[in-house]
Amino acid sequence: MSAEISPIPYANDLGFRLLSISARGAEFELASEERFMGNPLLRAFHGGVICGFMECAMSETVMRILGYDAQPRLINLTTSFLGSAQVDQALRVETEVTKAGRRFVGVYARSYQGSVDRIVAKASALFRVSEGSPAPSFGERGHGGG
Amino acid sequence: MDGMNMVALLARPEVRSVFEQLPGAHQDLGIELVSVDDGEVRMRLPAAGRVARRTTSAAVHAGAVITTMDSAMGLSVLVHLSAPSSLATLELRYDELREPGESPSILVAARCAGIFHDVAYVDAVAKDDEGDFARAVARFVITGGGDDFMAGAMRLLAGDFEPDQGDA
Repeated sequence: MSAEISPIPYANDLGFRLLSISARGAEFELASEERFMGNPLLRAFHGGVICGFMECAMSETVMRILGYDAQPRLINLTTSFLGSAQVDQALRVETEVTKAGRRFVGVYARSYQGSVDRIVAKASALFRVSEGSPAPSFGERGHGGG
Repeated sequence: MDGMNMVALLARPEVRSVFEQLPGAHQDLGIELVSVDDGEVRMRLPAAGRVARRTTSAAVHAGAVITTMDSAMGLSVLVHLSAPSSLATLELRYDELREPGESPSILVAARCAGIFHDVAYVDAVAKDDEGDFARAVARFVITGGGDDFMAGAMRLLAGDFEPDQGDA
């Protein structure tokens, strides 16, 4: 990430930035770059780059909102692609923590371009977090357990 | 390009090198097309430090692994079709069995399980030096591609990466 250095080298290499953060989620932006392109004929973001950006955004969300120092470990990531994302335009991702347990954290993300109505992908991921660093602020709001 | 077999096409070194030099994510990550054999597409991802998942380890981040798997899976659909077509990933599920080790490269193998109407079902596995560490399943929609797409595909295979030149 450009504004603050992430503990994830791949995230720093993508170079996305944090736009906003709340108690439940965060918003990030990935700038338009040719190197993120998939098929040059379509000039669209590579699907894998979109997945990678969303996974990093989700990891960052877990660390920032739930206060984990250690990077969460990805269990799985399921992404649905709903439209093509043009590589000439910045890509945004909104994340939301859907489940904050002691061992597992679930996160939802949606990616869009231009307006929030133009969703290009949505994803859900499950992360394993280290025990011993519970998530007090989130847990106290009644979303703990697991 | 009618009747041109994708497997035969991909066996040609110049076509493979075009594929690897595609501007964008392939070139950026240094993804290599290793082989296309009996329907299985293999690609290699070098473990560069900038795509590591943490500062204390050279293990490759899931994002770079998924990018390689998505590409290999898409190509396995084209190989199954035997003729070029445009494709779009509909859904991709990535499961990490364990964290990859610090291997110098990651190998991905993908195979199209079948095509029903215009939807292709694909499986893939990612391996490090120790063996399998991740699996993926994906569905692609085969969008066909009209004359413009075919002309563009021919230009790409000839090594012309400029999107707006109509000199094919």
